[in-house]
Amino acid sequence: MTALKEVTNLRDTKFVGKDVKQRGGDLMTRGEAKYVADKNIQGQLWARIVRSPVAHAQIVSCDAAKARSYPGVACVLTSADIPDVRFPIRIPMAATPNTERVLQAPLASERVRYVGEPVALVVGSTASVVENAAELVKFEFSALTPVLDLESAADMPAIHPAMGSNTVETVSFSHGEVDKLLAEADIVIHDYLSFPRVTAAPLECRGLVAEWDRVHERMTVWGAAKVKHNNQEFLAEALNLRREQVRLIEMSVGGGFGVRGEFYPEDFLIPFAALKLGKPVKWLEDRSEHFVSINHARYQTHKFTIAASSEGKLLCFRDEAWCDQGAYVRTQGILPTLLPAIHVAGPYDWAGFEIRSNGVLTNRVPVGTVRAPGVTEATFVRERMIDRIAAELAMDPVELRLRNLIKPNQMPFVLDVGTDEPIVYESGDFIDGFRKVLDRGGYKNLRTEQKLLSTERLRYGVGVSAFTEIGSVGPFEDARIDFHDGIFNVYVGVASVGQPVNTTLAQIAADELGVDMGFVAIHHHDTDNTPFGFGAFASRSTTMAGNAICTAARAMRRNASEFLRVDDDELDLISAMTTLPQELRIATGRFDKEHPSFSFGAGLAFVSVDTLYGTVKVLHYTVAYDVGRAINPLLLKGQFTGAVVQGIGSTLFEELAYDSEGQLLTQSLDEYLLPSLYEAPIVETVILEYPVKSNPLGIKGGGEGGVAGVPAAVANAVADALGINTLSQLPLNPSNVLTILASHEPRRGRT
Amino acid sequence: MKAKSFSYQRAKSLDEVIQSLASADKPTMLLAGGQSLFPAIRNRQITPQHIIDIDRVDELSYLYVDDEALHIGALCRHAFLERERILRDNEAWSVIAEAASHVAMYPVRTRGTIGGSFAYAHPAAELPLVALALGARVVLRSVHGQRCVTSQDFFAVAHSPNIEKSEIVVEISFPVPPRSTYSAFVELAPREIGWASAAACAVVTINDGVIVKASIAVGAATSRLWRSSSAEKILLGKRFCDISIEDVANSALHECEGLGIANKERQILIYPVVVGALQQIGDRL
Repeated sequence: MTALKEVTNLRDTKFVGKDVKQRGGDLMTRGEAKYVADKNIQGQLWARIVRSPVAHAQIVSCDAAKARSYPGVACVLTSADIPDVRFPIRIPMAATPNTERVLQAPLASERVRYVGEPVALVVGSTASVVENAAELVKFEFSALTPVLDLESAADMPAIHPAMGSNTVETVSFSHGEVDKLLAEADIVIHDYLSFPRVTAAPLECRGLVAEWDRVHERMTVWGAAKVKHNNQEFLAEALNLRREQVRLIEMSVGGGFGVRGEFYPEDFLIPFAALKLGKPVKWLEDRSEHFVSINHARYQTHKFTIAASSEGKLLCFRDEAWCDQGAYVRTQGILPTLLPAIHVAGPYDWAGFEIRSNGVLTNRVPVGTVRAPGVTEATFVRERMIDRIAAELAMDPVELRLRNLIKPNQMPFVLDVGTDEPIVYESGDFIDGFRKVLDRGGYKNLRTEQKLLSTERLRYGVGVSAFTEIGSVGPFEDARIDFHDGIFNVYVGVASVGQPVNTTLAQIAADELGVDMGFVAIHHHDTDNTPFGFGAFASRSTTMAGNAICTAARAMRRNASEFLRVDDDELDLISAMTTLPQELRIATGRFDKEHPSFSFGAGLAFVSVDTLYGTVKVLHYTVAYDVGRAINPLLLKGQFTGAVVQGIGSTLFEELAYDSEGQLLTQSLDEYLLPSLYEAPIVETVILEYPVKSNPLGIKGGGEGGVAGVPAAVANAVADALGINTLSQLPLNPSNVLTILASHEPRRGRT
Repeated sequence: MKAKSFSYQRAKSLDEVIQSLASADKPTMLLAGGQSLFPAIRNRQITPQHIIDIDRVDELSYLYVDDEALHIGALCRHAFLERERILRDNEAWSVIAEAASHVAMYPVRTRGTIGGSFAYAHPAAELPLVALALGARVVLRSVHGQRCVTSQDFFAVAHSPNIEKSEIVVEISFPVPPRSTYSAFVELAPREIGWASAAACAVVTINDGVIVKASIAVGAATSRLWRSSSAEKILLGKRFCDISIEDVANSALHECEGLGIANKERQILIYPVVVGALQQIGDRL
């Protein structure tokens, strides 16, 4: 492994690389942190969204008269009462001319396209009043056939007539000559695999408080998260204000995982109502409402063909995927279609592949991203298929992977996918990383245990997975360091969606400034005092803001040592601050990043399956992920562990199930089952550090990767335990496991 | 969400409850532990206009055994039942404690009551299933007097227990079982905490090595709590060791499918819970 020092030209570190406890973490665990639900303004009104009860229908008429005259109601808004605005896609690579035609309006007019779609807004004196009044808003609908099936959607009438088709976009990647490779291959296996529709379900639902300052003509919104500056721009434009007139404030956030903080209809409606009424308006989302309004994710099906030689050389694959985009394209554009395609090839050296990923519009809640988007689903599909090749060859699945992982001497690895930009893996040693997982998890011992422990009824299984994941996405971040009141105040444009950026960034700032962490405060909450930033997604906050801080801090030290004419190693920055002129007590830094960085990750799962009950227990999981360089191993361990448990949820029981009418059947936490402590296995974490040269700190992302390999490794372990080949669907709940078993042993449980 | 407005009355005695129910002039519901009722009211799934809180009617909180039966007062909490020695030490009644320990999670069990569980009549409820298998009777009271209903009749219609508007569940009584009665309860859920996807309770009485009484009750995977007479028939008159447990389970599954009460996604789980419950009994014999 390359020595860290060589690539990163770092100062001696006192905090970076150390297990520093999360700042303010104790407040969150004690329930003392302030969330948006805790924000109240004297005289505030409450808002309630009226939502479509049907999946697909023409709106025939709307009668809000009764609701408007309900005592305590301030206003009822329908689509006729608001400007005709749409919220643009904030990620340029996920926007196409087609996507512009299917963006969501804040309130539906003419047609509703999913259960839960906002159709009216009621504002009034209390939460009870607006709920009572909301029940009085009557819509008459004329039902249309809901489009729900992914593969046949293209043959159904377009749910957006302006689009003319239910396929919003098709992403194609290709590499090498697949037909030729398939013809020459010794083994070719076909399968049809799917990943269920899930969502992040953070502990805390959404909420907003909006206040219009009539004196200064400014709009302040509490409850922002993830991409504040982006939303500030959208909101200003939609309200016909200048950006400086809009202020977004992030309160404590109890979890984002990709869904929270995107610009949703409510992010326009609540401020719009506050502006219209000239009074503060508060909205808190219910859990059942959350399930039909926040972005869903991951639902997709894959027709997959994989080929290998009889010596165990993986040759090529062909993947046709149908990715559910839901009823509208939201702010993340076609990422739900694009990201699986980017990740299917993974960490292997393929001679060829063809990928066609179809983004399908359906009458379900719109789809966005959830932690490790695309990569989690693609890894499940590919790694299941690789295990099927291993079974066909009667080869250890670990051995098959070791033979086919990209080798260290191939780095940086440039993968031509037939588009303008290749996929580039900058750094890493995939084989070494994979071996580390096997060593830490005790692969050989697990194989022995499996044999010793397994009985006729209780079977044990071992499964592995490997993947590469996009992260540290640009384009840039700014940082400003401003010494005042005895503190180095660091202002950044990223965000905390529950993850401790205030700790990791403070570690970096303290080390680069050469001061104690106690002299550093990180500010990221308020658009009024932070530089424009792109926010917290794609495991980018620490890389992007960290390097911007690094640049600013180095500039500050340089300026100080030049001004005082002392060598850097003799500079005491804190005492220097008392003598420096005002302009030198401020420094700024920008970090530009043109290309994302890819990280390698791997997992090793040990499971038991009760073949009578169909219950799966994940007993042990080892997770490895390449962060380039660990800023805080303790917090990374927490991120990885939580991510593994989250991954177990979507592997074993999470599923947003819809009926044939397009009604969501899982609208509470009674039905949408999240993992609890009982389902958490022993998690071993392996932090891989293969630094990159493309940023001064040498770091890559770390927040998401822990999830990505879990469904694949656990499903592989379950298939291994049961000794079966076809295991192509999740979740692996008792019913599904027994159904899979019954299809392999038809007489079991039936006569 | 916020509940729709309702009037609230805290009852001090059973008599007050009965009188209030008799004179109620608007949709009224009884509140005991509130663990199912409150979420439903807050989500506006049910919208009572008047609530009578019986949580402090202490005369409904009792448990005793006499010559005929085990009497459990309606206000007995799940957390109390799961620890009660009278139940734990009895071969037949231990399933009551066992079932109680499977209700939701501990904080819920400290509030939730057996009477509330019966009045709610959820098809995946643990204690009603066990009561059905043990042949328990539900004692109801109103101004017109007392009425006893077999649990079979009480749970005959899905989501609609046999209970009049003017009535309150005051007691569940479990008949004293014959000697050598064994019982087992199994529930299957995707996750440790949460509603079961399938549950079964099996009770058998053995005399001279032969099964003389049998009861196989199934819940959660069915639209209502239900007893399989075909499965029970297979057991009767046989020695336990001669039975094919698989046949019994398959018979229950088929009967349930025939009646059209099986939940499509979950019916595959009926077989394993019945097998599991009978295996547990077999292990103890």
